[in-house]
This record gives sequence, structure tokens and C-alpha cells, in this order.
Amino acid sequence: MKVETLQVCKLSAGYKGKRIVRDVSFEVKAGEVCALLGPNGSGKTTILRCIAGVMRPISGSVLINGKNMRDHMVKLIGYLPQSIEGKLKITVIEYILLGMAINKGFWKVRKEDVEVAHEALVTLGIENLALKNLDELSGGQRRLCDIALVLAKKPEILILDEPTSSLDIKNSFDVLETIRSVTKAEKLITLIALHDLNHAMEFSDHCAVLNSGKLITFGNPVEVLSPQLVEKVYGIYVEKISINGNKRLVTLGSASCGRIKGIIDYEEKKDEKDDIAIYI
Amino acid sequence: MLSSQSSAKTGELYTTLVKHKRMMLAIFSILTAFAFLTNVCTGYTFINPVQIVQAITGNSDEGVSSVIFNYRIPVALAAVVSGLALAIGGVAIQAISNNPLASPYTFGIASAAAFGAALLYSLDISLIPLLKISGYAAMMNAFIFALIACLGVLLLSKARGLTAVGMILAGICISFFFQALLAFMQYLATQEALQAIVFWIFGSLYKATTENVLIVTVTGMGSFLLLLSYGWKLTAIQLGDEVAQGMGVNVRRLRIIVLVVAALTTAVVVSSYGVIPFICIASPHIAKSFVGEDVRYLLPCSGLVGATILSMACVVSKIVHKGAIMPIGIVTSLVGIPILLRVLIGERQ
Repeated sequence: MKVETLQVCKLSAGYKGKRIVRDVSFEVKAGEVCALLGPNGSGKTTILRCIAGVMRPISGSVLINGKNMRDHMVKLIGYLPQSIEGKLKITVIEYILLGMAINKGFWKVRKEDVEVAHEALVTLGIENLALKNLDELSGGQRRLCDIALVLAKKPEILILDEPTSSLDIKNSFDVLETIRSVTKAEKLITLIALHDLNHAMEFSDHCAVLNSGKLITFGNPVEVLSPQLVEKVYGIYVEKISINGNKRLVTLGSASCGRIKGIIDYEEKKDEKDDIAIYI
Repeated sequence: MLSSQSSAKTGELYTTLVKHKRMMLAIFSILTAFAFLTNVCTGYTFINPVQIVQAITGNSDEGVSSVIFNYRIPVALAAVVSGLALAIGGVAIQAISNNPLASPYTFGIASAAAFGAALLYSLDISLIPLLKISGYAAMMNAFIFALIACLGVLLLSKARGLTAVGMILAGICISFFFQALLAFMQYLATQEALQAIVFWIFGSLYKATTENVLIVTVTGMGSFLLLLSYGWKLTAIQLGDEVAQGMGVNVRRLRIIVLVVAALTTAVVVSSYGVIPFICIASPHIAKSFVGEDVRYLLPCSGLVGATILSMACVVSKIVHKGAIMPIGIVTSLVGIPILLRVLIGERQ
């Protein structure tokens, strides 16, 4: 089944009767990456868990192509939780095959399955780790394997909860670029929880900004991520700059710690200057 | 081109990895067969393999044949199938509880079974009175109470959403509950009854009969095949509930099925031969160091390790003091601990 749309309709969810997320609604279409943004505890993970089917919402629904397909969701979705704690003594290739076997329902591994698993490792540039044991990997290497596990399932919908959390800067960029290109090439629907607002502007088509469990705004991140919104949601001061037409946010300070030293001078003179980069 | 070459290389390496695991299974199968044969040969008098072949082909005298078929083979078979059943129970429980120190005994199955037997010896209460004259009353009491313990763990852990921690906590509660009841039975027991209870708890493969060996074999093999079919899922659940759920595993259902299967298998062994310690916990750890934690290979390997250790323990129990047989429960730990330590230290080095 080809998934064309994913709609989150008036979703409310929480733990032990306490509502964490209230009446959140948005829609993502095939071939689009949607970033979920917001400070810690804003409800990003709760929304992703509800969509992935590992948590039941209190009210509201998740519709695939306009239909509630809760029982079939798991076959369509590739879900990467915030962290995977288990350290098993199995090789990386076996780990990738594990995800595929459960999803596709095979018991005996065939040559083609190994090829698909290998392809997922190549996509993330970690084919050299194929025969290493999971318990020998660094945190970053393990995270890349977790992402490969999800990609090898060949899902229709990718749900990634902070996929770059333990990756270095280069790997973060490479992984997000891979996720974006796979989403476009395979016409997937990708939902991704992120903390880096510039990553959201660079790699996502839409963003859902959350605060205290409520959806504050939904739209193109380049347009909606204004300094006023960021200050309201995160309590930090940012400046939106343009480098060769690409918008980026530069942090100037936070409401609790004040402006970064040296930035004050810039703020006083910024109207006179064209090139902000000189002051950063 | 480069990618297809490296894919072929990964494929080759994966095949080598699988071959290595299969070779380990073959080696442990040979070890189990060797341990079984040694067990049949060893006893008050040594019977050599040629005599065994002669007995099988009907060319040996009646006395030797009778010893081989009525005593040696049932005991040796009981050692193999009980070792296998206890070890696979250990793998299954360690997987669903995500705890390397857990075993079916953690869930109170041994203490509940022991209490069932003690109830008969101490207060002469049989849950199925008709069995009193057949000699199976203690076994049946033990079996029923082992299942009650399993049910108790299920009901209590359901209150905590059938999580790994919930199961362990429920198991500890049930285990202590039956230990207290067992102690109470021992307190009430007469001198003779106390002796019978203690002997029952020590465990003995000399209770082996064709019937109970058959029951343990059928239950053990059935459980083995069922658990093997859940191989991938039992591996996945050890990565955490959320990951397994995300992969499509119905974690709650898997926990219930596996707990019931492992408890039933262990209950059959414990009620037949008494409490045999160490095999459930140690066999999975020894097997892991040879084939890793992919349950598709860990389960058979662990079963073979359990069968080998219990068979060797049975041999040792017969030769430590000529003419007397040490209770198997004492010997399994003494034989198994050096093997486990050797494997774990060797692995670290």
C-alpha cells in the first residue's frame, strides 16, 4: 500500500492520566520531511510514540490516507526511539536482519536479505561495521546502526526521535541529508524530532513547533521560525541571517542568562552593517 | 560495481559467521552425545561401549541388558532432556525479563514445586487423592503448585503492565511466599518426612522412569520448537520494549506465552526429578560466549550445554563415592561453576 498522507487529528496523549499533548493536528504528505520542534517536555516524543503505535492516545486519531489503520501501522512505519539501551552480543548485520525478519515475517535469512541489510549500511557509510558486535560500538556508531535498522525495513513512514542525538556535526549533517534524500526518492513521509533549529530549516519541508503539549505553529520552517517565535517558545534570543539566500538562526543569548558578551555591540550597530558574519 | 563487490563480501562474511555458529552447535551436539554415552557407561560397575552395542543388538546377557535398559539409559536420557529443558527455560526467561540473572526459579517455580511435594510428605495432602497409591502424588502436587506460582507471577505482573521489572518483582514475591510456606512445612514435619522433603529438594535423576522421561522429552521438545519459532522476537525484546514494539512485536503477548511455556517445561522437570539448580542460569551464559545472543542459535546451543553439564554432573555424582549416588542438585553447581568461570574469564582475556 502506498501511503499518500498522514494526518494527526486532535491528538491528546499523556502518561498516568496526565495530558502531555493536547489537541494537536497537522498533516504531512508523501515525499515530505516534517520536523517536530520544541523545548524538552513539549510533547514531541509523545506524539511520535502515538503515531508509531507504541502508545495509545487519550483522544484523537492518526489517519493514513484518511483511514484509521492502527492495526496495520507497524508494517508501514520505521520507528527509531530516542535511545536504544539494549547491548546485545550480536553483529551489526544480524541486528539489521533482526528488524527486517520481524517486519517481513521470515525466519531463515536468504542471500537477498543480507544484500538489503548491506545496502542500508552502505547508505549510512557504515558497511565496515557489518561484522562488529553491537556491544563494541561507540554511541555514535550505534546510533547510525539504529538508523540503518529502520531504513532496512523499507518503511512507508519514517518516525525518528532525535536521530542525531549522539552524532558528531558531520555525521549529523550526513544522516539528515540521507534521510531527506531517501524521503524524496522513495516518496516517504518522515517525521523527525529535532533540537537544532538550523537542521530543521535545512532539511525539513514543514515544522510543527510545540510548547507545553500544544501546537504553536505549523508551516515552512524558514518562514515560521522567527526570532519572536523562538524567544516565546524556547526563551532564547536569535537573529535570522541570510547567507547566499539560505536563512539561518544565530543565537544571541537566553532570557535567563542574558545576551552573549559582544553581541550587545552588534545589536546596537546591526542596522549599519550588512554582513552579520563579521560579528559572530 | 564497488557496492556490489562489498555486498558480496558482507554476504560471504555473514555466511562464515553462520557457519561458525552451526559448527559450534555440531561440536556441542557431539559433546552431549559423548556425555550421554559416558553417563550410560558409568555406574557401580563400568559398562564399556561394546557391551552397550551388544545389549542393543540383543547379544549381551540379561543382567547387563537389564541394567542398561532399566537404569542407565533412562537416567542418562533424563539428564539430557532435563538439562535441555532447564536451559531453554533459562534462555526464555532471561530474554523476556531482560535480566541475565533471571531463571524460571526466580519466578518461584522451584520453591512452589518443593512446597507441593512437602505438603504431601509433611501433612499427607495430595491435590489429586487418587494418585496417592500410585507414587505420583508428590510429582503431581509439585507440578500443580509450580503452575500456581506461574499464574501468580502473571496476575501480579499484569498489575504493572507486564513489564520486565514487574515480572521480576512479582516472581520474587511469589518465590518468597512459597519459601516461607516450605519452611513452615519443614517446621511441621516429622523426622522421616523432613528427610523425604530434603531429599526431594536435592533432586535426583534416579527417579527417572520411561513415563516421566517421555513426558519431559515431549514437553521439552515442544517448548524448544515453540520458543525457536519466536527466536527473532526473543532477541528483539532484549533491546527494550519500545524498540521491540516498534519492530512489530506484541510484547505483552510474547511475555505471557513465553512465561507459560518456560514455567510449564521447568515445572515438568522439577516435579519429576526435584530441584536441579544452576543449569537454567549458567547454560545461557556459557552458550552466549560461543554463539552470541541471536536466540535462533542461542536456544539450541544453550540446550546442548545444559544437557552436557547435567550429564557430566550425573557421571560425577556416581563416581565421587563408589556405591553411593550424590544428589544431582549438589553436583550440578560444583561441576558447572568451573566451566562457567573458565568460559567467562577466557572470554574476557
